[in-house]
Parts: sequence; structure tokens; C-alpha cells
Amino acid sequence: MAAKIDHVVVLMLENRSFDSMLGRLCPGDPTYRGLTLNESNDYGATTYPVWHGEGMGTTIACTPKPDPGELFTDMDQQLFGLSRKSPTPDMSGFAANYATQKASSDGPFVPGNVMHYFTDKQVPVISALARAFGVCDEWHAPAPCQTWPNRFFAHTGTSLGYVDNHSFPIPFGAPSVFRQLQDRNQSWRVYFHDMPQSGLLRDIWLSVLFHFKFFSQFLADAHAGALPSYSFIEPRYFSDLFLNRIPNDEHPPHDVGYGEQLIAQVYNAVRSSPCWKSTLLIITYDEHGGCFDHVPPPAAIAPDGVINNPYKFRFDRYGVRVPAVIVSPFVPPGSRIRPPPNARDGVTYPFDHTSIIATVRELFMQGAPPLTHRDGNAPTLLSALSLAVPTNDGPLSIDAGFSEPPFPEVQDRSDASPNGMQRSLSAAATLLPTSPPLTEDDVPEPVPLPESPFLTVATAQAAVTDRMNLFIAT
Amino acid sequence: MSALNRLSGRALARAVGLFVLAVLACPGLGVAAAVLPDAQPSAAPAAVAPASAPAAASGSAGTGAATAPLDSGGGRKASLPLKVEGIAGVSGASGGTRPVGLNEELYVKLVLPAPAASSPTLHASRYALFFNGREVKGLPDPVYLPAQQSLVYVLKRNDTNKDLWTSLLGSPSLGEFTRAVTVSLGERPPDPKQATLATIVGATDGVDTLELKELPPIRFAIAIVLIVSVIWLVFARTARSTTLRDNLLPQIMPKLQTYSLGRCQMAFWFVLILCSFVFLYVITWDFNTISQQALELMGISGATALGAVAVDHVKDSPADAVNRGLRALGLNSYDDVLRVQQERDGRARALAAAQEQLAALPASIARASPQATEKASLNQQILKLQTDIQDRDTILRTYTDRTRPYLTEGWFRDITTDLNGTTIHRLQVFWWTLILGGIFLIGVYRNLAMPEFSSTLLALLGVSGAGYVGFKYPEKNS
Repeated sequence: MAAKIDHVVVLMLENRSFDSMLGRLCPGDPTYRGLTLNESNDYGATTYPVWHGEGMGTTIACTPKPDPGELFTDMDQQLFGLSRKSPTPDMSGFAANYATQKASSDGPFVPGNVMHYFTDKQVPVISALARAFGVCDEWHAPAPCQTWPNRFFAHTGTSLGYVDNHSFPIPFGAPSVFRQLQDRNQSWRVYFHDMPQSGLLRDIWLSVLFHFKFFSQFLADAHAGALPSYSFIEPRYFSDLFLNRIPNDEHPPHDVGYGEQLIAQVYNAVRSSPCWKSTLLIITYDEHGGCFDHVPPPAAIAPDGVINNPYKFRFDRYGVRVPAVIVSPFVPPGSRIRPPPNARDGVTYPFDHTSIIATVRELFMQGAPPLTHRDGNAPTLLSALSLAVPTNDGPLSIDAGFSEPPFPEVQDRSDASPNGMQRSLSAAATLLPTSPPLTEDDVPEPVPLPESPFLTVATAQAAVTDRMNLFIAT
Repeated sequence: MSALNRLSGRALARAVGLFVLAVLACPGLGVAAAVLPDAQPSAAPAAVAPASAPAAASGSAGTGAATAPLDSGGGRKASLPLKVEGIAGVSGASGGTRPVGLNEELYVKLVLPAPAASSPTLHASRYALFFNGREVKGLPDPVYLPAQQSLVYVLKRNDTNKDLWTSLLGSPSLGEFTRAVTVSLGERPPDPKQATLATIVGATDGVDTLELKELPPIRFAIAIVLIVSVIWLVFARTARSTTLRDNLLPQIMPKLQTYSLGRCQMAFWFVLILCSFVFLYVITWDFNTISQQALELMGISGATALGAVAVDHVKDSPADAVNRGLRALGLNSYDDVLRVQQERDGRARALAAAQEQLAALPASIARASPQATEKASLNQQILKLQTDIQDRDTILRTYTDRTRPYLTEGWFRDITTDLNGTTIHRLQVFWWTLILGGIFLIGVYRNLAMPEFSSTLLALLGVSGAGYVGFKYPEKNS
């Protein structure tokens, strides 16, 4: 009997590779595709092996610092090396690409920083959930490029050919899984902290008023047993001096500890919710963000054949592996969740973000057409729900040791220059309507993303908050 | 004896200590500090011997004549001691039957034995004045006028006799009234160490009654005018400043800052005690009126305000976070807000002008013509201006949104609520301050003296203040 799932909750964090977060979850287990500690990158005459820091002070929790490169060209170097020697990626260029970044106010680019991984004790929340439920060690970002293309893949199965954040016209015009659900009378909500990247999807702009809610509403909805069919949670991308908050998206060099706290908050809310027995929680990351991973991304099915980039990239290759933890009482403890072969062509495609779309479609919209070829062929997560009855209740709650960020840390992050994601989001915020669109006429045509005028995270955050408040009429 | 001198050393140190703390916390109240320590001239000495009870009815002769008397009026040695046998009459300096009031002279015409007519010597300081059978203590020594056979008393009100005057004259009013009192004299024993009571020297029937003027209405009117002026000066000074306000966010216009309970309480007692002092001085011409309790009240309110300010400054709070956020946007003070608003308005005017210029250009313009260049330049200018305006709108909206919880909602709401609404610890301080203030005011008016609160009542106010400061700590983090 198929598991009865009424609620899918997705928490998508930022820019960490599988190896950097869960690479040493099961040391010595040959069936687990983690780190053996023999992995390394060369740069110049030096070899940089994978390593982990001691303890969990701010320096280690924010590694790698400064932020690694994450443009398409950066990832190309990370996968293939500075000078491409082979048509297949060998994951040899992380250290070199990092070492050759432009200067940053966050400090020098020490090549070995991107080879860092966290032990299970350093990231206890995601590690505990991976052990208590299931972990996917074959989950890739949809494409070897920046945040926006990968997040749009998670919602639409495509990035319409764009590879870098700044190249997207806004609003993004591809049809989304949210709209599909809505057209079939299925409930959905986006829960966010400061600005949801999914708020740039054009086909749901008429729905922002009722479907975009602050994260606090997620906690309330979970508590009340009022979770929608599909919940998508976006972390805090900007530090907020007004609320003394720091990003919890784990985007380097943001402290992963705050992301751990967010994961714990989400899990605890779901676990204590009346909806628990029928909920599937997916915790993953948008892309690897320049952090080392040793598994070369395989070839992928191009979503739509659209190319809107100077590199003629057809999106026929996945991005680097990202962590993915699957939580449900239907998932046996300690599961290694692997994708099943495709029913149509017998090929086994890895999980990627479009697997979320495929799973949601399978659960709530059976018979609905796929959004693109990519999500149409993506493996679903239903095979992970192998228990006949929801007996795996996991830990009753997880204590992430929530603490207020120290003021100097918030100030430090607020005074910093915006990272790529923050620059793009704040630039996009200036294009948002100043009131919720109510008719199709209120929804503007896509226009090129302007340059971000904000020099600090603080000013970008103020603009983002202001425009979001107007956009969703809070 | 001055009020300060009457304080015990410990109480004085406590009150002054609290007050110094208060002054440190609120330099604007330094004026009050300057008033209090003024050296007070010694009041008239108390009567040499107690004469608390009239020992005899009028007509009973005094006893114990002095053996070597000095005439306190002329300073000449008396050849013979005189004994007052009675009172022939009383009058004011102007004579006749006109009423006599405070700070005026009272002439008591004496009935003296026959030899006195040839000898003016009289031991005047030994004769105490009695009204309605109660000695008027603490008056300056009377002067004997031999020619008129009268003792002249100056009716001074001081700390020693204030209770008697209060019972005789009542509270001040704007009406002109008199009260009839009986006048008699008492003769003190020559040796103050003797326990003998002064005896009353009675008057003949019908002439010992004096029309005593109640407190002069003109003084009452002047006192009211002065008090209103003091209050007006204080509140005119504070209405548009942050003297009585929290000033948690310097980016908010001073008159829109929230009122501070601690500062308001401190100002309340300062104004109340200052006005009471002014009132009592004008009415009674006595400046030894500050009581120990008044000092302690100011100390308690000052300590409360100081504690509140300390909590505000020590603890990181939501207001501090807003302050940091606004600073990051370039808003360090209210002047910066005005600057951004002016920049926004200036750009809006420039935008309107640029759009007008653009509209004035012909619809079809040949490429590479000067007009085409001008149009392109105008479009670029308009885009830049629109972006600039949007940036400043964002800053101003953020400012408005973030500072809204910290704007005044009116005096009462400000001092009785925090970010979460009405709080019991604030209400407690408010109501006890109001009640004690009311008691204080009534006491000053009715008794013409600053009331002496019990230590329990003072402790109550202190506990309320301490509770307020204690609860303010978590309040700031909510």
C-alpha cells in the first residue's frame, strides 16, 4: 500500500555540497558515497586534501570564507579544472578556482578552505535527521550554475536557459508547480524570512497575497495541523539589524549553526504537528556554492532545449551533489535513498530538485503533465517511503541550542558587501510591484535585472524588506 | 533651627546621596539641587521656658521677678524690676482696632504698677505672648516702649510656631478675613532651668481680644502666579525637548519621543516640592520649609529615574537594534531624516521638470540629431532620478515602519505601557506617585508645611520604583 502523504514540506538552504555537510556521516561504509579522506585538489605545486576544523567556533562554522565563486564559469573550473583536460568532470578545480577569485573584503582566498567538511558532531541536526530517517547521496543540483537557475528548476523544472542570477529577466516566466497545484485546487504556501526567491515567479504573482507567508506562520500552521499540501520554506538570506537576526541560509560564509537551528525548528514543528504522520519533509540545498564534492555530476536530460547563455550550455549536465535528507514516519531509520530506474527508458537518473516537482505531482496531481522534460523524467521520492505504516517517529524533538546572534556578528554581516544571491534578490526587489497584483493587467512583463545599487547588506536588506512588505501588503 | 540642621546625620546623608544620584542622572534638575543646600538663617530662639498650658486665667499676676533685669528694648539697666499686672489693650502699629497679621507688629499695652510710671525698666524678654491661651513660641524678643507702656511683638511664623499659626489662621485663600483671638502674656521664670511654668498675665475684660488677619490674599495670589509660572516654565521647556522623554531613538523628532515614567516621576516631585517651597515662602515668608521627607521623595524619584536610564543604557534592546538598523541606512539623527526627505523632494521636483522637458520634445526626432541626444540624456536622467527617489522612499518607509512602535501615544499611555501594552509595575508607580503627591499638596495647603510622610509610605514609593526598574529589564528585551 502506498504511503499516505498529505503534506510535503521542502526546506531549501543555500550553497553547501554533499561532502561538505554529510561527507563523513558514515565513515568506513563502502556503500555510502561519502568522503574517504583521500580526496584532494591541486593548485600550483600544492595538494589540498579534504579536512575538517576542530570545534565549532565562528571561524570553522563560517568556512569557507570568503564566499567561493558560483558563477557558471566558476563551476566549470571547479568541475573540470582551470584548463579543461577532459570532457567529463573530474572535480579537480575547486581549490584552484577559489585561489583565483577576485579580492574580497572577507579576507584572502586560502585554497584549502573549499576542501573543508563538517563532521557529524559539528552539524548534529542534519546528521541526526539523516540517521533517524533517510539520506540521499545521489541528489544533485539541477545544473552547475548559480542559485537562481537551480531554485527555478525546483519550482519550474527549468531556468529557461539562464545560468547566472544577474542574467534573468524578472519576473521569471516559466510555469511553476505552485500554479499547477493551484489550478487543481491543491493548497500551497511559500514560507519565508525576508524575501522569497520564489516570489519572482510570474505565474503566481496574482497569488502572493494569500500564499506567501512569513516563517512564523509555518510554525503556527504546523502547530494547528493546518499545513497546506505543499509548503516551500525559504531561509533568511539577509542579516537584519532591526531584528538582530543573521542569515540562516548557510550560504558561505554564513554560520552553518543558524541553518542547523532552522532545520531543527522546521523538524520540531513538523514532528509535533497533528500532520506529522502524513508529512514528507525534504531538507536540501540549492547548489554546492563552490564547496568541494568528489562525485562528478552526470549527464542530465535537457529540460526544454532553451539556451539563454553565452556558453551555449544546454543544461544537459547536473550540478554538484547537495545534501538531501528525507524525513517521514514512512522512511525507515538509516535509509540510503537511491533513485529507482526510470520506468520509461530504464535509465537511473539521480535525484535533483525536479524530483520534488515529480513527487508533488505524483502525490497531489496525478495525471498532470510535467512542466519540462527534466521533471518529467525525474525520480520521485515515493520509493523512500517504504514502511507500510508510519512507525518511524524519529526523535521527539531536536535541540539545536538556539541562541541569539551576538550583535557584532550581525553588524559585521550587515556591513559586508552583498553576496551574489543578496545582490540579485535586492536588485529584483526594486522591480516588485508596490502593491499585490490583483489582475493580469497588474502583472508586468519581464524586464532585465538591473544592477544592484546597494553597497552593504544592511541597505539591501532594508530595500528587500520594504518592497516585500508592499508586494505582499503586510 | 533650620530644616537641614534638624535632619539626623544618617537621614541627611541618605537623602543627599539619593538626590546627588538623581542630579547626576538628570542634569536638567540641577536647579533643584541649588535651592536646597542654601544656608538658612537661624530662626528666632524658642521660648526660654515652656508655657504649654495656661496656668491661670487672666488677671493672675506673674511671679518670680528678675533680680538684675535688662531691658531688651532700650538696653539700659533697670533700676527696679517691674511686674506686669495686666493688659490694657492690644493694637497694631497703626493703633486703633485695625486687624494685625503675620509679620506685623503687635502692641500690647500693659497694666503696670504705679512705680512703673516713673521707671521704664521692664524685663521684656520674660513675657511670652499667648493667643487663645497658647504660647506663641519662637517669636523674637519683644521690645518694651516705656512711653507707651507697651510690649511690641513681631508676629513671625517659623518652624517652632507653625502649628499654632496654622490652627489660628487656617489655609490661605483669596478672600480677606480676620479671626478674633484672645491675647494674654505669660511671665517666664527667671531661671530657665526652673521647672516652673510661665504664668498668664490676664487682661482687663473686653480689651484682650485681637482681630488677627488671616493669610494675606495678595500673597496667595502671588504664590499662585509664581507656581503657574514655575509649572509653565518647566513644561514649556520640556514639551518639545527630550527632558521628560526616553530618547531611545535619536532619529525620532524630540516631540514625538515617548514619555519616560522615571523622568516624569522625578520631574513631578521636583516641581511639586519647588512649587510648595515657593508657595510656603510667599505665604509665610519662611524659607525653612524643606522637610526631610521631601528630600527623600526627590531621592527616591531620582534613584528610580537613574535606574531606568541605567537599564536603558546597559541592556541591548529592540530599540538598540532599530537604532543600529537606521544608522546602517545613514540615519543617525532626526536631521538625517529631514535631509533624506529634502533630497527626495528635490529629486521629485527635478524629475517633474525633466519629464516636462521630455514631453516638450517633438514626437519624432531624427537619429543623431541634437534633440535625439537631448532625449536620450533626459531619459537617462529620469531613470536615475526615479532610482534615487525609490531609494529614499525605501529609507523613509523603513524609518517610518521601524520607529512607529517608539512614537509617543500620549503621556498617559507612554508612561503606563511598554511595547506589549499596559504593565502593572508602571501602573503601580504611577498611582502611588499620584496619591502621595496629592497628600503632599493637600498637606502643604492645609498645614502650610511640607508633610512628614511615614517611613512606610516612603518605603512604598521606593519599592514601587525598585519594582519598576527591575521589571524594566525584561521589558526592554520583549
